[in-house]
Amino acid sequence: MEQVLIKLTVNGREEDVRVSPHKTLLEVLRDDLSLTGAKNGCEDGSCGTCTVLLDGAAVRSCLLLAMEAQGHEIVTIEGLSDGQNMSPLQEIFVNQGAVQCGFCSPGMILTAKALLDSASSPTETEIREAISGNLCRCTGYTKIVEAVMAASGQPVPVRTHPYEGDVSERAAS
Amino acid sequence: MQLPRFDFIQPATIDEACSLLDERKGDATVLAGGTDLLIELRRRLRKPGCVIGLKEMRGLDYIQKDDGGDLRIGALARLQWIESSPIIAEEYPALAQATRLVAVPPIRRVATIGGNLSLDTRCIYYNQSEFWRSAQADCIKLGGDICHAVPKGRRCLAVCQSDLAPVLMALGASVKIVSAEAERTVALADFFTGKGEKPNVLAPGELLAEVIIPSDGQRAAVYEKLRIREGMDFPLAGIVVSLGTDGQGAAAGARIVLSAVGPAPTRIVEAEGLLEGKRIDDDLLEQVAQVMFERAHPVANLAMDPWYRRKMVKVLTKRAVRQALETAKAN
Ligand SMILES: Cc1cc2nc3c(=O)[nH]c(=O)nc-3n(C[C@H](O)[C@H](O)[C@H](O)COP(=O)(O)OP(=O)(O)OC[C@H]3O[C@@H](n4cnc5c(N)ncnc54)[C@H](O)[C@@H]3O)c2cc1C
Ligand code: FES
Ligand code: FES
Repeated sequence: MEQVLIKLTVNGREEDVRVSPHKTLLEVLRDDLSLTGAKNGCEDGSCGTCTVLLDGAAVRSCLLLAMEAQGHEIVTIEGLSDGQNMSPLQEIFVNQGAVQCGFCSPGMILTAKALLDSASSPTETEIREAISGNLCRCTGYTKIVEAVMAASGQPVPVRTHPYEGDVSERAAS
Repeated sequence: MQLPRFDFIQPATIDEACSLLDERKGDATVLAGGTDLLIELRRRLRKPGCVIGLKEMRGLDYIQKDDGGDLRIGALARLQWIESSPIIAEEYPALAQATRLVAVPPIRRVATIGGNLSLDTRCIYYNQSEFWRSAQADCIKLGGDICHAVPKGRRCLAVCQSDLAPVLMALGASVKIVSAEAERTVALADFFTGKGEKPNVLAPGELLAEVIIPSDGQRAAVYEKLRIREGMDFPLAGIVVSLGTDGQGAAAGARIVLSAVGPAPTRIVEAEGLLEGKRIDDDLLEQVAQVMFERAHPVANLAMDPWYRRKMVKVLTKRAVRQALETAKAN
C-alpha cells in the first residue's frame, strides 16, 4: 500500500505524481494537481460533475483509480481554454444562459465536447441521451441542449411559454 | 469519502490474474470497469486487501463468433461495444437493447459484461454508507442475522440489478469460469444462487472469463424494464420474453424470465408452457401475466413500493409478449 510514482498526461502535459493506490483520478486531479474544475458531487457515479475526457471520451473520474489513468490522455475543463480566453464551446454555454451556479458545467461541457467531436450535428435526442448522466439542478437542461445545438451550428428552436397555449385556449372557450 | 487502502495490481494476462487471485485467495477482489466495485468499497461494504485491476489486461476483450456459430463475449468487453456491435445488433438485438438501458453512456464506456453479470445484489438497507448502517444491527448480507426489509425475515432478498442477466438467460447463455487450477462452464441459470447475500457461484480465486450465447435462429426477444427515472436507474422489475413462431402465427419455444424482484433472474416455465403452440389473444395474455404476477414476490427493499412493482410485472409481461410476437412474425 505504498505510494507509487505515476505519470499522467493531463491537458497535454506530463505530470509526475506520487499517489496511494486507493486514490481516484478525481482526487489526484483536484488535490495533487490543483485542477479543481472537475467537481466532487455524488461520489457514486450518478451525477456526472466529475466528468473528464479519457482518450477523448467522457468518463467519470470518481469511478476511476488514478493508477488506471496512466498511459491515457486526460483532458479536464481547464484544458479547453488557453488560460485567458474561453473556448468557443464554453462561450456558447455562457451566452445561451446554460450556466447558472456552474457546478455541473465542467461535466456538461466536456460531455458535450466528446459528443461534438464524434458527431458534427447531433439531434436534440442525441444530445439529451449524451448528457443524460449529467445532473443539473439549476438551468433545467433546455438551455444546455440549446447551447450544444448552437455550438454545432444548428438553429436553436424557438420556444414559447409552456402555459401560453393553455391560457389562450381557456380564454377562447 | 475516500476509498479504503488496498494494494493495487494490474496483471497483463489471464494466467497472471488467476495466479494472483490464487495467491491472495479470499483477500483479493477483481476490478473490471469498477463502476460498481468502487462504490461498494467507498461504502466499506467490502474490505479487500488487494484489488486486481483488469482494465489493461489483454485476452478477454473480444466479441466474436466461434466455428459452431455461438457468440463468445470476453468478460472485459465494454457495454459500449456490445450496444454498438454489428453482430449483436443483427442476431441478438434484445441484448443491445438491454445494454442501452444500463446506466448512461459514460458508464457504459468503462463498464464490462463480466462486471454486469457479477454485479452484487442491492437493497436500500445495504447500499448505504458505513455511518448510515452503523445506526442499526448488521443485516444478513452484512454477516448479521436480521433483515431490515422483511420483519422477522430469515433470508436475504437483496435484488439482482443486472439488466443483461435476464436477457442472456432468455437467450440460453452460459458463462466460462476460470481459476489457477481449473475451468468450468455453467449455464446462467446455475450461475445465480438465488441468495441475496451470495448472488453467484463464483468462488474465491475464480474469474468469470467469457459469456457464450448459442445461435438464436429466427427467435425474437424483448426486455421490459421498470425504473423510476428513464434517463438512468437500476431496474425495479424486469421481464424478458423470447419466442419464435410456427409459421402460422402461434408461439413456439417461448422463454420468459422474471428479474429485479428477487436475488436472481428466474425462468418461469409455467408461463412459458401456457404460450406453447398457442395463438396469443387477450385472454391468454392475461393468464400468462397472472402467472408472472403470482411468481413475483418483491419486498420493500428498493426505492419503489413492492406492490406496485408486482402489479407492473403483469403490465411488463403483456407488453413484452405482444412485442416479441410482433417481431417474431416479422422475422
Ligand atoms: C449511476 C449508476 C447506474 C447504474 N445503472 C445500472 C443499470 O441500470 N443496470 C445495470 O445492470 N447496472 C447498472 N449499474 C451498475 C454497473 O455500472 C454495471 O452493472 C456494470 O456493467 C458493472 O460492470 P463493471 O465492469 O463496472 O463492474 P465492476 O464494478 O468492476 O465489478 C462489479 C463486481 O463484479 C466483480 N467482477 C467484475 N468482473 C469480474 C470478472 N471478470 N470475474 C469475476 N468477478 C468480476 C467485481 O469484483 C465486483 O464485485 C449502474 C452503476 C452506476 C454507477
Ligand atoms: S462525483 Fe462522479 S458521478 Fe458524481
Ligand atoms: S448550473 Fe447549477 S447545477 Fe447546473
